[in-house]
Amino acid sequence: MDCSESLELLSEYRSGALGESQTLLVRAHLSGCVDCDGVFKDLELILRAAASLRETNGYAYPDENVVWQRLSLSNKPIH
Amino acid sequence: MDNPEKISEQKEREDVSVAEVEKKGPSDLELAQKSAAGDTSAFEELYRRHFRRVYALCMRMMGNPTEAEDMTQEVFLQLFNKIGMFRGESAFTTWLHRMTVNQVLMHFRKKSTRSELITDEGETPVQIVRGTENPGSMATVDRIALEKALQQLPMGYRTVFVLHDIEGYEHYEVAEMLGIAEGTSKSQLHKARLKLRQLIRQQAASK
Repeated sequence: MDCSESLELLSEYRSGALGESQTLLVRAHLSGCVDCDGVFKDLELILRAAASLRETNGYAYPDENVVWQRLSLSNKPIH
Repeated sequence: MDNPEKISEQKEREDVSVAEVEKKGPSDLELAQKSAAGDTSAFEELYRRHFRRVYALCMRMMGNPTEAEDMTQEVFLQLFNKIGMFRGESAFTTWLHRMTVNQVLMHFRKKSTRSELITDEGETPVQIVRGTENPGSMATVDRIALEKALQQLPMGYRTVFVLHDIEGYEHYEVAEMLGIAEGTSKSQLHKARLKLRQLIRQQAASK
C-alpha cells in the first residue's frame, strides 16, 4: 500500500469500517511511514478537540435578554 | 460503521446535562407542557436553559455571529410555534437540536446552490509531498485553533464535520438531513478532516 491509498482510508481505518485485510495493510503502512502515521495522529487530535467543542463555553454569546426581547412572544398565540 | 464508543459517550453527555438541569427545577418536558398550555414564563425558562447550546450550534454551522444570532431567534420562534408537538418521546435537547439543525440547513438551501451545499468532490485536499512538511504529528490541537480552521472550511465540508464529529450524528442521519448518499457523507467527512489538518498546520506555521 502506498501513501495516497493509505491517506484515503484513514477515516475508515479509525472507525473500524475496513475489512480485515485492508486494516492490516493500513496498519503495516502506518508502522513504516512516519508521514502517514503523523497524519493519522493529527486526525486523532482533531477528533478529540472536536468532541470537546460540543460542550464548549468559549463563544462570545450574544445577550440572551436582548434576543428574548426580540422574540416578542407576549402577543403571539402558542400553537 | 461508526465508533460505538463515541455514540455512547455522546448519549452519556446528553443524559448528564439533562439530569443536571432537571435537578434544579421542573423538567424540560414539564416546561414544554406548560408552554404549550400558554405559560410564557415556562417557555422563557426553556429558552434560558437552551439558548447557549442553540447559539453554539448555529455559530458552528454558520460561522458568522450575526447570522448565528438571527438563526437562534428563528429557532426559538419555531420552537414556540411547535412546542405542543413535543411529547417527551426523546430527550428535549435531542429534539431541539434536530430542529436547530433543520432550520440552519433550510436556511442554507434557500441561499445556496446544491454545489455549495456539497463541497466539490475533487482530490483529497491534502497530499503528502515528502520533504515539504514536518514529519510526525502535531503536539496538540486546541479548541480555538480548531474553531478558527472550521470557519475556513467550505460549507459542505464544515456541515458534515459539525454534524458528525462534533454533534455526534451518524452518517445515515447526516445523509438523510442533507439529502445525500451515505457514501458522500463519509467521503466529505474524510476530506473535511484532512483539510482541517492542513489549515491548523498552516495556522501553527504562521505563528
